[in-house]
Amino acid sequence: MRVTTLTAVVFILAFIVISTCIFPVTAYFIESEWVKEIDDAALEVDINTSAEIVVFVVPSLVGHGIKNKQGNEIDDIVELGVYIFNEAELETFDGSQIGIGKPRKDNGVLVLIAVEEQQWRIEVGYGLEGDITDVESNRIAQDYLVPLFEQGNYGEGLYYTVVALGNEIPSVNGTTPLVRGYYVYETEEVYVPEPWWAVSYYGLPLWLIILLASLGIFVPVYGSKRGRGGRSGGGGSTGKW
Amino acid sequence: MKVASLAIIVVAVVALVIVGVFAAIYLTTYNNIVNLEASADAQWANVDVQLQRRYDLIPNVVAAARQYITYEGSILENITRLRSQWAAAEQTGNVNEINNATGQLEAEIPKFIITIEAYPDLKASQVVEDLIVELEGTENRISTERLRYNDAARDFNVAIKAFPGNLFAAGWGFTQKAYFEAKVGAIEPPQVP
Repeated sequence: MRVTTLTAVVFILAFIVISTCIFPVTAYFIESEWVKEIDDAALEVDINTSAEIVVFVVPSLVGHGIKNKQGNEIDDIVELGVYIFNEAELETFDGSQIGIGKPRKDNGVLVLIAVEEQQWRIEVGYGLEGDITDVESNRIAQDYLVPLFEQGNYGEGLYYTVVALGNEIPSVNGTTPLVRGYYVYETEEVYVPEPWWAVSYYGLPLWLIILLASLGIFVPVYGSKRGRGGRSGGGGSTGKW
Repeated sequence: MKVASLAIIVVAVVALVIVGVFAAIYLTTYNNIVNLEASADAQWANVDVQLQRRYDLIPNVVAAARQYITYEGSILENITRLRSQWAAAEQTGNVNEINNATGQLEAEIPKFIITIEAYPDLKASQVVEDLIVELEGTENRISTERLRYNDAARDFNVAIKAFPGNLFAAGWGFTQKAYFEAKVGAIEPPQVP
């Protein structure tokens, strides 16, 4: 009797664990082999110039759940770009950071892709508006992003766009100790509100956190903060493919 | 005797505390409002920089487009006229007039861009395409900085309307800041020749 109850509990737990691992299946827009290439290219730019080039992909301008100060979901790619650039909390390798680019240098670039609407947006930080003018950002997108996207080579298109943007930014002497580490962000293809047992923080399912916490094992729920990064004000260019 | 002096001391301490608290509220409120006003003004200056950038850019776009646009010349005239009207409003420094003129100009620019994009020759011209990209970039900058100005103005307006700012704001000479909004009603009907 006792043994069967125990077995049942073990089975139920195993089922939850396996289903949490299996169910959040997501298809990604950027082919996985290119994610690392893009990350490496952006890291090199960060090391050489201290500028941060971030790639952000949303499946659609509707349903991404990113809201402005008035609480409405942002459905305009320019406004969404400004919001992600300046207000969104994005993970870096050592804690989260608000604002792309280094503080006071404002040297960030955001490449935002809305898949369903087939729109791209390059948002340039205040500090780089001289190095990457609106016209230059548009040319880079027209030369690399648009033709490769039209062939369906999304990762490759983003890679060459990041490299070309990086080439516009002058390098600085000495390396920067404050590299960002992560440069590619992609939200899930379809936004589905998760059931309670699938909600997870930092890769751990919520029920496991509650279990560990109830056993007295300390789990940090909030990551460290890096503070404020760079700022932008709508500079750059927009288009479709 | 002893009780009386104790009472005096208690009353004096209570009075001091009340005066101190009042002074602290008074000063922090004042400083807060001054800071909010300064950031709203700084943000207004950012909007102004971008409006000026648009003002400087329009003649270049109009000049480049004039070579190609033949039978829809009125759109070029309109945009040039509204640009001058904006500059005149800017001279007066009256926020409502500036808002009005900006709104009218703003309503015309998308029409202008659509007209240009409808001309295949024009679209093929690298010069015009670059100018249009710049014009679009400027429009985006304007709307971004304007949203930020409105946020800053709202913070300031709330601070002088809400307690305890409302007690002193009028005495300090602070007045509500006007929001900067595109006037949808200001769009002129299309001219039929």
